[in-house]
Amino acid sequence: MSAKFDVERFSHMLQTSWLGHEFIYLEKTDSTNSYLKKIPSRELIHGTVTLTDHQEKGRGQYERRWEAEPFKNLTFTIAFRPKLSDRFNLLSLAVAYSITEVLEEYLEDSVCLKWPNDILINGKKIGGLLTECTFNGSKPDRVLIGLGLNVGQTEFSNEINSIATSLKREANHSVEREELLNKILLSIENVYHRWHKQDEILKQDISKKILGYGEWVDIDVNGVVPNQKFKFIGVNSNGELLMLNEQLDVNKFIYEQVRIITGHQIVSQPGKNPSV
Amino acid sequence: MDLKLVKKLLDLISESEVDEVSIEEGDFKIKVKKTSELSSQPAVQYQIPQQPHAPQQPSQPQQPTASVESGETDTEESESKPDGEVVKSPIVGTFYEASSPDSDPFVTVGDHISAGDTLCIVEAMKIMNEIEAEFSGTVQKILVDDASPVEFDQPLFVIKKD
Repeated sequence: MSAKFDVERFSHMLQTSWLGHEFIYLEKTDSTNSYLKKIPSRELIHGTVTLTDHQEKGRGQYERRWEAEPFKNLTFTIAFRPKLSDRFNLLSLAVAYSITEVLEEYLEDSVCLKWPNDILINGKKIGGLLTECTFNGSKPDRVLIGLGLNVGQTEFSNEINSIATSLKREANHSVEREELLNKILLSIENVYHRWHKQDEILKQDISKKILGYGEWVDIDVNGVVPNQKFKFIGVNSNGELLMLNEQLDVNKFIYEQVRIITGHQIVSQPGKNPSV
Repeated sequence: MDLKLVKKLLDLISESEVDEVSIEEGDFKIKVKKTSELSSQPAVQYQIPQQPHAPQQPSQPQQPTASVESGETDTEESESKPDGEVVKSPIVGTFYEASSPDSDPFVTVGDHISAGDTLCIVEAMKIMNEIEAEFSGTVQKILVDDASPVEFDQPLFVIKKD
């Protein structure tokens, strides 16, 4: 099953009130984030979605590659144009959270987030986000949330086979991409409204989905694992991690590169994003 | 005008009981003021005449003056620089002058930039925030070291508008 994404079918189904109404389909492109980054500010509409069937230079964090087999998965980017210049980290987490909700409709297992960018099922990576913002001076111009979601791919390279999965693999049946995207956009639109009106419950909903929530975990801070455990007590309204140390002081990690290490952690490979 | 004169003037004032001195000489005008503890006003206000025939353009005379008055350092340079706009960080994060450690910096001092050009990246919790120039101009100063933490509203660049 390697059909092109059916834009017409998708458009007929679309139930959102604004998200994805501006929809750009590209059979092939370098990266959907890069594509939307180049659109001039005056032409970019809030809620634009760009999807490609064949992302040739998909990017993960820090220029890592994001591979996806063409025509089988969902690789797309949403452009938001919020007026206020804060809480984008929470928005990015909120989008990831909303996707876990949709995936769970298809699965018996629970789907969780590995802070801050990965979506996991049974310890394997099914999707990831790459969020990039642009400011014009101090004013936010655009927030681009790029998503790669393994949908119909069942074969993975040896390198990532044990740490990657797809919806088809987990659900044991095919899922139509047009229908799935429709559900995802509806869910993201809903969570965007919650984010926008500063719904206080949202950060709790997100926190509960993050691996290690409520547990004493090891953390990796800038490549070093401190010699004590931290209790992960959730994210705050800026999307910052809140961690209690053993002296019960609250630590936030804004500047540091932090990774939460839990017992059931996937092993991430340096320089390579487990996906497909 | 002469930078030495400015320096002399500042030394003179810092040692004296005088709080404020203004000097006008043709189209050159300088006003030096000691900062009081209550005021967050800049210690030095410095004006470069706009006329094209202005005598030699002293482009960065603010530096020595600021250090002379170093009792209260928490003044923002922006207000004291009518000739340079300060670009501030819109968010808290880590400042990067290039897109990756191997890449060239987006801008260096002396570069001419156009509106929309990327100046730097401020990374916060793995989100890359690109800061673009709002206007065209010349980069006069980069106020932050690569890979260092920045606060909300912290000055990052001084850019002289075209």
